[in-house]
Amino acid sequence: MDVGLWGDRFSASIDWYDTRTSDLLLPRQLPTSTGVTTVIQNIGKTRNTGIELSLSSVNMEKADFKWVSRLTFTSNKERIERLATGSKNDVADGWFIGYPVDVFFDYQKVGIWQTDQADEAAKFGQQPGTIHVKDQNGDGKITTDDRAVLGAAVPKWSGGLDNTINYKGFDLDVYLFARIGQMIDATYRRFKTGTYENQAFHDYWTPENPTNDFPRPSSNGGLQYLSTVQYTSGSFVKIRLITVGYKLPSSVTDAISMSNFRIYVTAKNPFTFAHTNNYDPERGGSESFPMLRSFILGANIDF
Amino acid sequence: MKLHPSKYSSIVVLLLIASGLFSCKKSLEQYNPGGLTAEAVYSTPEGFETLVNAAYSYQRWWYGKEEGYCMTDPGTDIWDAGQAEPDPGLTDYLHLEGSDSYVTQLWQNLYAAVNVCNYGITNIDKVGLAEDLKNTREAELRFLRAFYYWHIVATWGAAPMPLKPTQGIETTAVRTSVDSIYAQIFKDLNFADAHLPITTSDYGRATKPAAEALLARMDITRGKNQEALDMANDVINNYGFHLIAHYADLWPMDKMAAAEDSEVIYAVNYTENLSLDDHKDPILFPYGHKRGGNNGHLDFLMKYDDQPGMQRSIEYGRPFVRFMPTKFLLDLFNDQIDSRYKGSFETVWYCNNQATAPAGMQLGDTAVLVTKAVVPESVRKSKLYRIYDINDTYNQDGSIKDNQHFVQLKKFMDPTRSSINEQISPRDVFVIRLAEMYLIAGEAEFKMNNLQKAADYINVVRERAALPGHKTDMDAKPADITLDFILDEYAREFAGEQLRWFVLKREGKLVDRVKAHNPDAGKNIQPYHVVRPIPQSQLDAVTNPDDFKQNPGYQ
Repeated sequence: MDVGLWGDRFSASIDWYDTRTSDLLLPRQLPTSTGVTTVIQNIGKTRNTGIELSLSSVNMEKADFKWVSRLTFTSNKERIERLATGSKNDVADGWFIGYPVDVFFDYQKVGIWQTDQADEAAKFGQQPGTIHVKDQNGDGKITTDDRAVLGAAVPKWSGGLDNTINYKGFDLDVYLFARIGQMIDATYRRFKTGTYENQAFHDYWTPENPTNDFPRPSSNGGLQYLSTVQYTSGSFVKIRLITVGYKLPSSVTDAISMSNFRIYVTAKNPFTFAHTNNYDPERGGSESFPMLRSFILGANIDF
Repeated sequence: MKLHPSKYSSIVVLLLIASGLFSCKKSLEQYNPGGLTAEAVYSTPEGFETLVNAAYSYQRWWYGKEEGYCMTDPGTDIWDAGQAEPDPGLTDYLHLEGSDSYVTQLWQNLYAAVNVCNYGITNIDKVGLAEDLKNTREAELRFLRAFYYWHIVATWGAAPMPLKPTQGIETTAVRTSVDSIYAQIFKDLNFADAHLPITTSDYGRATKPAAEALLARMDITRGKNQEALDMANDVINNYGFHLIAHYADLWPMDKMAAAEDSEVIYAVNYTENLSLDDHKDPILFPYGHKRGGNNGHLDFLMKYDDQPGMQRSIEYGRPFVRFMPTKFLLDLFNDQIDSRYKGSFETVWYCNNQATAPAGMQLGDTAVLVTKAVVPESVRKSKLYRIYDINDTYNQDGSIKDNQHFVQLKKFMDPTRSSINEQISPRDVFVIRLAEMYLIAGEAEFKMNNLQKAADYINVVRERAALPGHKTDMDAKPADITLDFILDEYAREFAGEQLRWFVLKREGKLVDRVKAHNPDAGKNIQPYHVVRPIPQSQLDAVTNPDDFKQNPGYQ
């Protein structure tokens, strides 16, 4: 649906969709006792429903002042409706009916067992300082049946807001971007024990520092459920781009035989607001090729 | 010529076997311009050779690799984890679970190997090989299948036992009993024994004595003492093997071929052309190992290179500090009469870095001494070099005090590597040595209450190990022979040779001896640890999870 109002100073476009995909080809894990690890198989059906919205508005327009805003918003819900295994979940591949294809399936970290929980921890063979995971089925022990879908790698929604202001020779562009609801498996949160290898700063548990973030280190290694500390919210809001520019008036450029002279400063990714310290979750959890924050000073010159 | 199962052949096998498994509800129009299908390649005699080579290559996932060592050496009475402990689940039985990556990787590769063997054995009649060659190749594949199934059954107990290649999508698994798996192992080995040649010009291929030596190991494992004795005697007497004169000469790189000519009955080989080893390469060999080659030269070394007067060198190796001996192992040797202590362990490092040497120490002077003796303070004060004595490395109860500085196993060191940090060594792994046949024969006689004969066999191994002038000192008397003595002898002779866990398990002594002699692992080991956990990826993938469950005790 497309709308234009007030002489097209305001326009909007809204799309709603419901896509059903069947016979999706994906590598499926087999029991490795077959001697084979994966086969390519039609794993089943998925359904995607969502909305895409874009708004554009000229908020103000005068002789030497113009302010334009553009807003985009997308929301998508993906779910598996059927698998090669029928209506049963495919745990080996991490495919679950009703969930997106790309989810995190593991034990669920509740926190760190604290000193005053020693008795409760002991029932699970744990002690203060170790990772406390949820007994999902409440049978009083932690087994592989206590693994659960913790979150999806795909966002619930994302959106962008772009504001452009022109005043005389000056121009300003600020682009705000948000992606909300996805989970990441952040390898920079990896908690290694027993080796010298460097890693990010971790707020680990000691009797004097009763944090729920990371467990008590052990020189023997052998800490359980360490993968659980890596799952974290990947939601973020960031200023993706700020550009400030100034264009010399044509009276000046003409005098020096130029048709255009503009100098500008651009900051890419200058500010990110996220749950992860010192890590831009837009990268998706990996430590390689981190997101760049860059500052550019430039000029556009035409003769 | 040596047999070097080429990496390329294993890629082909993996690709071809996987390609048989594509499936679609609707049939696809297929056009295969390369024409490369399993049937097309393996139905020719030349193509079939690549399958047999690939069937051998999977042995490299276990032998000479950190994963394989973790399954066999640390976590026993004689090896503990060093500072860079790779897998506390296996080395110390600390929260060992089905998610363990080493257990998972080895399960996966053992079954992939079995699948290759099954493909060859099932289809060999269609290849058009001459009768003799056909029998030899089938015998090799059956030897390998038995060898792989022995690792599977000894490690996991009752387990799936496919005997046909996987075709189509198989999503269920059933366990075959331990007895039935061993019955199949014997069946395959008997075929191999009947059809393998006595020698091979391609070193590394299975031979008749190799099949018989493995049969001897299987017989003693299954309590068939007379059969074990007969088989071991057959290998000892009939194929011209003999123990080399000096135990220490088993290990230098330049003496490897001589050892293989006389004492080694079966080896897994690596090659001097490192590009033909099993190192993972994103294009040429995507299914390779992350390090490749023999890694024993890395794993057992202590942290010598930050000591005063020392720097890392090709000669002394790249210290990964993975595994260290237990105090118990060091105490098993009487180094006054037994050459195997000095023949197995490195205890002295000579200064190779003047820049960090204390004043007065010259290049070539002793820089570090590690000893199983106690060194009094007065002696320490009189020496320029660093001393780590038994009480520096171990606590009184035998638990580890210093997991970086210890008497290190030197058997697998490789000063022929091209650079200091080269991880790949072309050292072959001696899987079965003649000495084991003497110990099996001795063990069989002991179990049949013939103590004198038992001592006679064991003394052959002990006398070879005697320092000059101490042959009779090394002789065990019939009254000395007990099961524990035999197990101690295995430790002295085969320390680090990827045999220990299996020997303790077959004698029912794993838990007792770990508790008695390895305090760090002993505090965690439970009776259920005599089988390893089934990989979680296997349990998650089977569509009959109610029938196919985790081994008892594991989470």
